[in-house]
Amino acid sequence: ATFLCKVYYGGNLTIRLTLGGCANRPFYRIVAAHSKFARDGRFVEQLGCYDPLPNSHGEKIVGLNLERIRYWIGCGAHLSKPVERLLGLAGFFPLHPMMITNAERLRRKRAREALLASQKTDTEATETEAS
Amino acid sequence: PSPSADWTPSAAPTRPPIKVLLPARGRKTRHDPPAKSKVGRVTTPPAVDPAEFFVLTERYREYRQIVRALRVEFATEVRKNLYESRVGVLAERRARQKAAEHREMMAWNRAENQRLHELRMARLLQEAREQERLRAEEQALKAQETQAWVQLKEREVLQLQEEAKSFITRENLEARVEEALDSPKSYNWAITREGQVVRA
Repeated sequence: ATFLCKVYYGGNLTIRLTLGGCANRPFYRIVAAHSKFARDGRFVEQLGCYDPLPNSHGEKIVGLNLERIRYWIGCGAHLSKPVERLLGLAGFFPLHPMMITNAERLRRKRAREALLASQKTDTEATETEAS
Repeated sequence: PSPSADWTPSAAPTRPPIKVLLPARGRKTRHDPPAKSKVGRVTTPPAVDPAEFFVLTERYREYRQIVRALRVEFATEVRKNLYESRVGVLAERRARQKAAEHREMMAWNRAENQRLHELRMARLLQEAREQERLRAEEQALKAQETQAWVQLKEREVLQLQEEAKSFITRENLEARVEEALDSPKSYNWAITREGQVVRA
């Protein structure tokens, strides 16, 4: 094997996010690579990009090459959790169960906090009335 | 002495059931020992709501089912594309087109070769004729030259023969000497710059 064409034992083809960008400015590229290679190392093909910071219109941009993603999944590629979440949000895959669960938990927490806040205002109102 | 030989169940130190797990991120590597402040630490997992857990398992089951079905579909699509690219209607048509194109090109090439061959033959004939003509011309010129040379030499020989009549031989010697002595010649003449003789 040459310097850049290393052969690994085990491992599989994975579609995952590769971190790039500068300090305090992350930028992810959705990439098909062998799972044993470094995160930012050699990859097979770039299948898209993801910008985690919202732009001037408040949007987070995600680019996906669905044709090639279909091809690589058909060739037997694994997916990492963030990639599954992104595909679920895009509508290509079903929504991830943990994402739904976290959203429900957050909603319940917000409802509980709102209830507590309203209860506190009610008690304060009754106290002010009593006094 | 190996520790496993001395080990007995009663002598083993009692440990808590849950082991202290090292975090994935942080400054410590996997070979660094846990800190002294964490000696008696017992980690408790977060409480699980059974209803939510059931709903979550169901959701996971459905999700995995759908993803598996998608994977199978994509795999069959890839295989189908591969098969069609190798042994498909479009592939056969392309192969036939390529073969026809190849045959056309070979025929055109043969025609071109024939045409160029004929042109070449004509050109070679022309060149041969030209060469012949030039050679004939050269030969004629040479023959002419030799003839002129021969004529010149003949003329020279005749002139010499003519001159030989007035040569001085042993028989004429006495008579020519007497003749020269009897005819005096005057050398008292000059010549101008223009080349005219002046006798005075």
